Amino acid sequence: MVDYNILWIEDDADQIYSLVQPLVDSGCKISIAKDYENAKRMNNEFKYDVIILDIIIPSGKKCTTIEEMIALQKEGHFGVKFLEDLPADSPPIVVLTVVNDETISNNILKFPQVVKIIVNKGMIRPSELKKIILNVINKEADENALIKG
Amino acid sequence: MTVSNFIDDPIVELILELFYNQTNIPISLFYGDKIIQPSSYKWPDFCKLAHKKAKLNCQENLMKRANVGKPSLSMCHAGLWNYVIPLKNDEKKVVGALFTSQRRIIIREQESIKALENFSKKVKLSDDEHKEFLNLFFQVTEMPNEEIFSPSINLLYEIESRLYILLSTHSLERKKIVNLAHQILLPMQSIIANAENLQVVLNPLNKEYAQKAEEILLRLSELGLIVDNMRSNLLDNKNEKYQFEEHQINSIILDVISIFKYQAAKKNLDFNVEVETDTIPVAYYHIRRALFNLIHNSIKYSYEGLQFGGQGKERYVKIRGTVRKGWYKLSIENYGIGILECELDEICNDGVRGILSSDRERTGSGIGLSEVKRIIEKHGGHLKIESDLLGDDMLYGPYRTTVTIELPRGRHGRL
Repeated sequence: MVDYNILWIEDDADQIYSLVQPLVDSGCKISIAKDYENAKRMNNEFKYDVIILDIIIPSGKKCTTIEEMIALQKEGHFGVKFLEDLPADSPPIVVLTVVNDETISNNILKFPQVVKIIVNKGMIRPSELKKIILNVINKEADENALIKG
Repeated sequence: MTVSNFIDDPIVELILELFYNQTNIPISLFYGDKIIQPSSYKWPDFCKLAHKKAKLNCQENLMKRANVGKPSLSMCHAGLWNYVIPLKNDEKKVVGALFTSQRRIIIREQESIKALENFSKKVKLSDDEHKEFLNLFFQVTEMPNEEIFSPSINLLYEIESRLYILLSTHSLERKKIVNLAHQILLPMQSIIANAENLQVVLNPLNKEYAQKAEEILLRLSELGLIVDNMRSNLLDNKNEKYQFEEHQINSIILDVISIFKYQAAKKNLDFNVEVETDTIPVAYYHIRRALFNLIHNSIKYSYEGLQFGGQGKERYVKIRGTVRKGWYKLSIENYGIGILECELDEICNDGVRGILSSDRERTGSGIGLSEVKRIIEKHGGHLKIESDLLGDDMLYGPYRTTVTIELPRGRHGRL
């Protein structure tokens, strides 16, 4: 059993919750943020071992006019914005997205220090995701141990 | 997104060449770090000398003007005139520019001479060099006034608006593909996750039902692979960068094989696997998809049952992973439906299916192998396919088909 804290930023978490079931069964605590604002707040308030990040997520901001809504849509993908706003001591990120567009993918790759792996939603098996997440956490722990000497 | 996403460079070059032939005004297209211009156009000697004497960055200068967002006529560093039209996408972002070649404009010659003198002083040309420079200046094609640009400018606008329509349509098509794939893949992800969890729970309780769950899982994975291949093929992400991370390649290979264990057992196929351990830089998701395609093919094109008398008895997929100097070599060999020798060079091309494989029992789209080739080449690797006829029945085989991929173990060779 493990007791890792995982932040899962995913607006469709209700639909694909089975994907993290093996992680939950093995003792991980999964906290879900369904939009950018919540994700940012939770990441500031709590400490996570790893973040699973979806790229197409809502902003979480309340708009009062159509103009505001249109402007918000033009701001781009809030998953990428989350990466841009990350603090320096961010936990490692596993991008779990359905996006396969080169412009967005290339934007994600601008954050190699934190984005450890990009996994495409669609065919991933829960057992495989569990393996990936645990690998990332273990690798991070090894690297931190090396830095501390 | 760039122009190259929706139109091939040689086609643009042909259009520009045609335009040059008709108007004698060469137009070039800038996008990214590329310039496409009429193939028969030669830069004036004046420009060549100016570039030799001073480190000019005409492309940067032109793109600066294009980025203003409006068409403009202006003079270059050395006194020649040209016209720039920015090329925008549907988000009104400047993605490139069309520009006419440099010309002298007679009625504005004084302005040019002044600019030329300033340029000579700036790059400290000697008197002789300035004289030579002046001579070459007067050899540049002249125009009586800027109005002469007008007919060609109207045509430029026409080209710009057509390219804009193409860009917008293409952009819309891409959005449709992305959205459709999203709509399909999300529920599919949900079912795949449920099927695997169900299979894990059922396994100790009811083997028969656990197998059914496994079959659902496998069929969905196949379907997911088709959607993924289709999306990647339609989006044609030529400029996509891969995220290379060190991964245990043997572990990825074994993971993919394990997905197909049930299907192989159902066909009475033996998996004969020996893969050496190695950690190499790969783009995880892409390499997994390439392996998925290859192992899926090896099972699909293997014989099942005791066809063809004694000859059909061999039913296997042999997988070998070996560490070589600088490379990780993986070969996947199967026994069954083959590829004709004359098709081997083309079989990885987009949409091509081998004649022998096009039977109704083995549906396919002809995009799997082209995706594999693209992925392997992006890794700086190689792909080779051999298909040997065993016996003398060219149509019904059997064939021994071997797909070999080599992946660089270091960072060399990657695109």
